[in-house]
Amino acid sequence: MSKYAILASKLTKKFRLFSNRGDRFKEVFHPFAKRYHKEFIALDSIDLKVLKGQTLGILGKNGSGKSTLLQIISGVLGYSSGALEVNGRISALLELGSGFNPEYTGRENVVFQAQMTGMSNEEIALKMPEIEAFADIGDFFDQPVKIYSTGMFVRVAFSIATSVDPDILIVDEALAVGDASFQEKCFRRLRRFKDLGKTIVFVSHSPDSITALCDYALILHEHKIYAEGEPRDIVDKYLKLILSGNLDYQNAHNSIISNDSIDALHHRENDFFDLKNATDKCRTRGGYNPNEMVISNGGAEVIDFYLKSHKDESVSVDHEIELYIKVRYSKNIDNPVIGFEIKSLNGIKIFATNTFLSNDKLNKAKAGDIKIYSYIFKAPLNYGDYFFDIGVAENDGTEGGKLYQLRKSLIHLALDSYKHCRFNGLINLSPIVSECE
Amino acid sequence: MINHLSCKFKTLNLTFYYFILTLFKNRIAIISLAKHNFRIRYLGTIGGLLWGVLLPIATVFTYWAVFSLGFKATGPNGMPFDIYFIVAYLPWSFLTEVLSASSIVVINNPHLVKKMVFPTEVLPVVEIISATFNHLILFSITIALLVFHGTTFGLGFFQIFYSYLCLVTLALGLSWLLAAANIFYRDIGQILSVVLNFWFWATPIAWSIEIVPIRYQWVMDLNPAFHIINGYRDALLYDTSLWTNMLSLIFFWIFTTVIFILGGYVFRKLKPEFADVL
Repeated sequence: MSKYAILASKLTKKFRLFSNRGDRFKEVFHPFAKRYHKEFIALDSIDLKVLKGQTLGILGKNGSGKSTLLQIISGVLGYSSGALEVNGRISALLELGSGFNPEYTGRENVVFQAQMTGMSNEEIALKMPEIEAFADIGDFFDQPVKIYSTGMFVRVAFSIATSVDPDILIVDEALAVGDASFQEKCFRRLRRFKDLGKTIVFVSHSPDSITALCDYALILHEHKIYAEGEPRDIVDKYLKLILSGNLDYQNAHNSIISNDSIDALHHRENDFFDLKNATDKCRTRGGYNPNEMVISNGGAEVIDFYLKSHKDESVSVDHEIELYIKVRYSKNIDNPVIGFEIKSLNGIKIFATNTFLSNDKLNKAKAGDIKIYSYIFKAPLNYGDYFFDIGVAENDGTEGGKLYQLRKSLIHLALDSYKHCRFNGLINLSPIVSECE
Repeated sequence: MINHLSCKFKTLNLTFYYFILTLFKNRIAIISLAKHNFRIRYLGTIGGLLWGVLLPIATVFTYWAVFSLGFKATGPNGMPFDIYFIVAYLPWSFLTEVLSASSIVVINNPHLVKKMVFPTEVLPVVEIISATFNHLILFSITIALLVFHGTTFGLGFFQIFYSYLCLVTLALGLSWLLAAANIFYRDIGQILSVVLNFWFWATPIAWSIEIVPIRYQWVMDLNPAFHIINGYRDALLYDTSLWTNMLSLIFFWIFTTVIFILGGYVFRKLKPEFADVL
């Protein structure tokens, strides 16, 4: 008996890209093996050793090859070269509703999946109440799967995948769509799996669940293993990787005032405080988010911003942050109001203010004026990604005032220094602890 | 050379052996899929199983009305048209049902291809099982009609099992070919209905072989469907032995073996590509 549950060496997957299906057909049967395809390497010599009973966490950006790797391990997809040895019965929860027939009801799908793993009808009947209870979707269990919400889908899928008593369980990000209480239930079940000495391969975008669950972790980056080892170190490396590079759903420009550009920074700083320049220069600033959303009503515009931390090298946790906002007025405004809002990656409003709310009165502005305002504040935030909305408005006596421009998610602030965080959650409340007499 | 061929033959044997093994291993899933087919077809309707009886009767009635009432057609030697037709229509409807369903069976089950480890080569078998159920319904109707006409059955009746075997082998080979190729060239599904229609009229199902001058009747022996419908007619109508038309039999098995091996080969070759195309 091998001590490894999964053993892969030099595992490589090349996808062949064809311009149409016909070419693919022709290539298979071409008498002289003519090639019609272009190659795309999805996995490049992956070496993987997963011990029995180990829980492996896989981190990686979208498109790094995680799902392909899991599909190959579970046998749905073939590989191009290398070797793969899997010891034990696999149950895979690949993406949503692995192998569900949309026309079948939840129950029928469960029965079918269980039959495919070789369970007898009696065994299935015995397990069914447990599976149904875990999925906990009520009468929907007997409705066709096609009418399910994604949450229901994953509930049934997870329930069946973990109920067929596999030796190796493969979970691909699927849990992310469940609600919090279901996720918690799933993690409890995964832990029980672990305790039973079963092998788990787990893909997640959430570093927390990797550190909480896994004994070993690896990062897939650009189709190769970028790093592997202790989950905590790997998570750290992963955060570095995604923060120094670009987050996959954003284009360039979003790396924050980065280490390599201190000179450029000073240059930019001078450039910023030049009041003659009336063009919109947001795009050129470090931290600009190209996926911002602008609501403009004319009258005044935010044309530039500059985010500076107390230390010049990088904006990091607990440092004082200076936010400069440059506004160009195109009409006379008696009571201008500016403000900003900080949101977390998933849209939670962390802090929002404006000069009307804070009762700070700004000077009158005339058409053609360019003014710079500054905010200085402490951001005792945890590491992670934050977004700034910046807006300019007028207090004209009406309720809520008159909005001139709001640039939503204009700035993307990535706070790293994961290691310095001595708290969990979004904000450091800096509590003082002492023992009471 | 001979060594090489025998080696090829061995692998072929082995592949066939593995196919049978796969069938056996997945018998529960296959039956479950066939049951589901059945349920979709009948349980959602008010008529239920009645449709399985009514639809073929309606078809047979239509042909009978047009040919027998309209054209005053009869079978050879004045045999009533209805029994002459229904006995041949029995295997033919099975063949068309299996082929039409099989040509889309892989396309319609992408989850089995992409998200699971499932032996897709058994999917046409599922369609054959489903069609066999309908086949049995039509078979019962046929027997009832034959009894009504006062037909008696002899020992030749048991040849029906041989003819059914012919039917299944041909259907399975063609199904593999169609199911796999249709994924790559969806036109095949469209062309299939035209081809089936043409094939239907090119086979003496609704018309008598006697129309063809004896000199040219051998051409019909090259039609594999002819061997099958003749088998059904020999068993149910004439009670003659199937050895009477050796040419037809030999040609049928050459054709069917080639199709079976070719279909299996094409399906197996293309199977790894399915997940990428669907």
